[in-house]
Amino acid sequence: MLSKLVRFFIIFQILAFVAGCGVQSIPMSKNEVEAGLAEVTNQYKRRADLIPNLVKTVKAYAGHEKETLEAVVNARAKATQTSIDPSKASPEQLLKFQQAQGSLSQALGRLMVVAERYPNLKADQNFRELQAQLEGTENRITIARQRYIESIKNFNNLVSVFPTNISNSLFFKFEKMPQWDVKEGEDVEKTPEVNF
Amino acid sequence: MVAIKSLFFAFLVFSLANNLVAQDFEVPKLTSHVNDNARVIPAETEQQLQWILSQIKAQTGVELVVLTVESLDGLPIEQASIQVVDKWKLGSQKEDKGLLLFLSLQEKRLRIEVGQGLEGFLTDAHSKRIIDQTMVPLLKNGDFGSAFILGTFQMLEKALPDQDISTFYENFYGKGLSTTSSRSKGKGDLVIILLFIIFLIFGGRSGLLPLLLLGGMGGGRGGFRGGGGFGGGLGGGGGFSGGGASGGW
Repeated sequence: MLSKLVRFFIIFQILAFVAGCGVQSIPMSKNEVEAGLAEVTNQYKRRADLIPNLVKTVKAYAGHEKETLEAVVNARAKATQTSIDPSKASPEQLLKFQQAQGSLSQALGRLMVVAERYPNLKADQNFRELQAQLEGTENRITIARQRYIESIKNFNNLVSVFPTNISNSLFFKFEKMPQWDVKEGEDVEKTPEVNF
Repeated sequence: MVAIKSLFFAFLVFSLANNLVAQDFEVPKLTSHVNDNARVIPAETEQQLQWILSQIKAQTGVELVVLTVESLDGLPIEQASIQVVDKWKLGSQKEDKGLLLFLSLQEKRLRIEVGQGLEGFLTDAHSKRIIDQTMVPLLKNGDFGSAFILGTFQMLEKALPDQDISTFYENFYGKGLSTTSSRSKGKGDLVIILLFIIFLIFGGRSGLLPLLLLGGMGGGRGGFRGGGGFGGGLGGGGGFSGGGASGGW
């Protein structure tokens, strides 16, 4: 009877140790980071998908704003070319991706400023819907990025802070992940000012 | 003794300083379907909405919660709103059919936050239209009650395209959803009794809710799915990813 209890206690202790030491939580949080990045790229793609319609609508009212329109089209083409594989993205790839999306954000921002000058365009129902969709997508991107950043922080804590760092050096040997560069991101990515 | 005293003092100073520095937006408690912390919705409307929204949750699984606050403490409404839904986790974990209609009085800002499971039905463009074309004109006139009745009605209409939402509202607002509710007295009394019963059931549950939820909330991570589902209570682990729209009046 007693030995059964003792055995139970030992098993319980081992389980508690395994659960608490990161053997489980480190790979899990790595998956979370990958999912977070997948969500970020997913939302950026959603934005890219909106652009052809947006450009077409603006063209109908402000066709002679060629430069601004072309800038958006080119930036979109570049941004969609720079895709990343969430499970094996290198820091350089990430930076490139960020820059491409950033210049698309800038081009879009300029387009929206130009659009402000055309009352007929602003009154167009189609344009207003697209504007609302773009606004919503920008918000989704912001949130996806925030969660991604949070998941990287969580992973890095597990990998580098006692006691889970011990299991990491024993079993996984993961390195800290580079954090998504918020500051640079914000400099580059002036979110399109969408005012009604 | 001196040590304890100085420790106590240090603690006091620390907590004071903390209070002074961190004037952050704090997510209010989820108490019911209508959390009118800014006290802008007339009491009668609040009760009616309470009833309608809990009925809709029970019959369709769509969980719409209304929140009003005095102020956002400097936070953009989009940020405050995602903090609220990350904490409240409206909608079930499986279906993510949560909706938040969020208003801040001081900033005169308004936001519709749409759960992942409803993004395809109540799109950003729909949300924007409900805010700009339906709610904002009413809010400008100071008619908060009608704004919330019509706002929730239109949100649910889009979120539940296969359901006749007006049947839920007809009890109070007639067939055409006329915003003035002139009903016979007898029926009004019945409604109040019904409301009282529902309030009893509901209030009892939500009192228990925090305790029951605590068990499932382990980790407290950034805000993907957490939380244990709980039938009947509010907030079942629904995920949000920023869908919806904002506006101001």
